[in-house]
Amino acid sequence: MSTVVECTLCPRRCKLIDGQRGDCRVRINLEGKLQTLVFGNPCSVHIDPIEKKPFYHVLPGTRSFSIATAGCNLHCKYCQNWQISQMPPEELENYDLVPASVVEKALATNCRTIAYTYSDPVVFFEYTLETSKIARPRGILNILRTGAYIEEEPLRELLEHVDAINVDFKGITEEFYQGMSGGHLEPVLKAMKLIQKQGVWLELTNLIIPTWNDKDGDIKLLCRWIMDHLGPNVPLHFSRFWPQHQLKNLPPTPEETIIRARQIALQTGIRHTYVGNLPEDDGNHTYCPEDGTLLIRRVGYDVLENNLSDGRCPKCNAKIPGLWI
Amino acid sequence: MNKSDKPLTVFLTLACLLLAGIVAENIRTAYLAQNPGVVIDVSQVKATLNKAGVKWQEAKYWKKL
Repeated sequence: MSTVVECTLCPRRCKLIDGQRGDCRVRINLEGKLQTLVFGNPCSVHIDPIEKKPFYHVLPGTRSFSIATAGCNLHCKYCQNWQISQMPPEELENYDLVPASVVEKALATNCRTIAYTYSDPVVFFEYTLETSKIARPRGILNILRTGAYIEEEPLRELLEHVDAINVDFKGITEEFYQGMSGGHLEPVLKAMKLIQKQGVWLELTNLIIPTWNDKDGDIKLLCRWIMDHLGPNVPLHFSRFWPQHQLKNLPPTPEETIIRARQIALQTGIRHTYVGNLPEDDGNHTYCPEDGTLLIRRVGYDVLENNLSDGRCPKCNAKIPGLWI
Repeated sequence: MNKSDKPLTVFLTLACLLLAGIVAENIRTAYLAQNPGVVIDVSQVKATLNKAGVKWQEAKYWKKL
C-alpha cells in the first residue's frame, strides 16, 4: 500500500499518493517522500533593474540577479508568466545552477541583490532558502516577489534569511482570490502582517484589472486594510493590467484608473504610492511625504535622479523608509 | 420475500451498484482534475523526469499521513 504524504508548505495542504504531484506541479510524492523537482533547476535567469520587480525603496538604480523555476501554487487568470508558472519542469528548458553558482554569478555581474521572482519562490522554497543562506554573508541582499500564499512556519524560516519582499496583493475580497487565482485571501493577509512584524522590508503590488477589482470601493477597501494593518509607510504599486493568458478578452486598464487609484491611496494616507506600467507618469517618482520634495525621478525602470542623502530628504531631513545602502 | 419480488430485488441491487460506481468514478475524476500530475506508475514518472533531465531531492515541510 502506498504512503500518502501531505505537503505543509502552503495553505493548499496537498495530500499526495505515490507518484502524485501537488497543485504547484513541482512537489511530488516519490515512494513515500515529498520531493522538490526544482532545486537548482531554474528555468529563467536574467539580470533586471530592481525597479522591475518592482522595488522602489530598495537600492534604487541597481541590478538584480533574477531567477525562477517552473510552477506556482496560484493560478491567476492574468498571469504574465504563465508559460513557466503553469508548467511542470519537464516541459521547460532548465539550467543547472546550484545555489552557490547563483551567488557567484550575481557577484560576477555586479548585482547587489538576488531576486526570486517571475513564478513564485514559495514553490521553489528550498532553492530560495539555500541560496539566500549563501548570498547574505557575501553581501548580497535577497529579495522576493511572491503571492505570499504560504504557511506560517516555512515563512518564518524564510524571513530569517531574506531582506525584502514584494507581495502581489491581488485583491481585497475572498471572491477575487477564489475566482481569479484559485486561492484564499486570509493566508495572504496573515503573511503580509508577519513579514512586516519580522522586520523584513515589505512593498505591495496590486494589479488593477477592468471589471474585476477596478471600482473605487475595491481600491478604498484595499488601502484601508493596508493603513489599518501595515501602516502608512509600506510602498504600494498599482499596476496596469495588460491582456494576458486567460483574460485576453479584457481591455488594458485605462491609464486614468491607475492614476485615480494612486490618488485614493494617497488620500487614505499611504505615503508612498506608485503607478506601474505607465512609464512616463509622475506617479513613478518618490516624493518626500513631509515637504513634497522630489527624491527619486524615474522613467519606467530607469532612475534618472536620486536626491536621497543617507535615506533622508535633502531639504527637511525626513527619514524615508526603505533599504537605501 | 415473495418469489415474484426476487427479479426486482436483483434489478434494484444491480442498479444501486451501477449508480454507486458512477458516483465513485465522478468523484475520482473530479479529484484527478483538481490534482494535475496524478499518476500511478512511479517508475514511469521517474523515467519521464530523468529523460527531461529533471532532478529531485527531498523537500522540506511535509508529513506522512
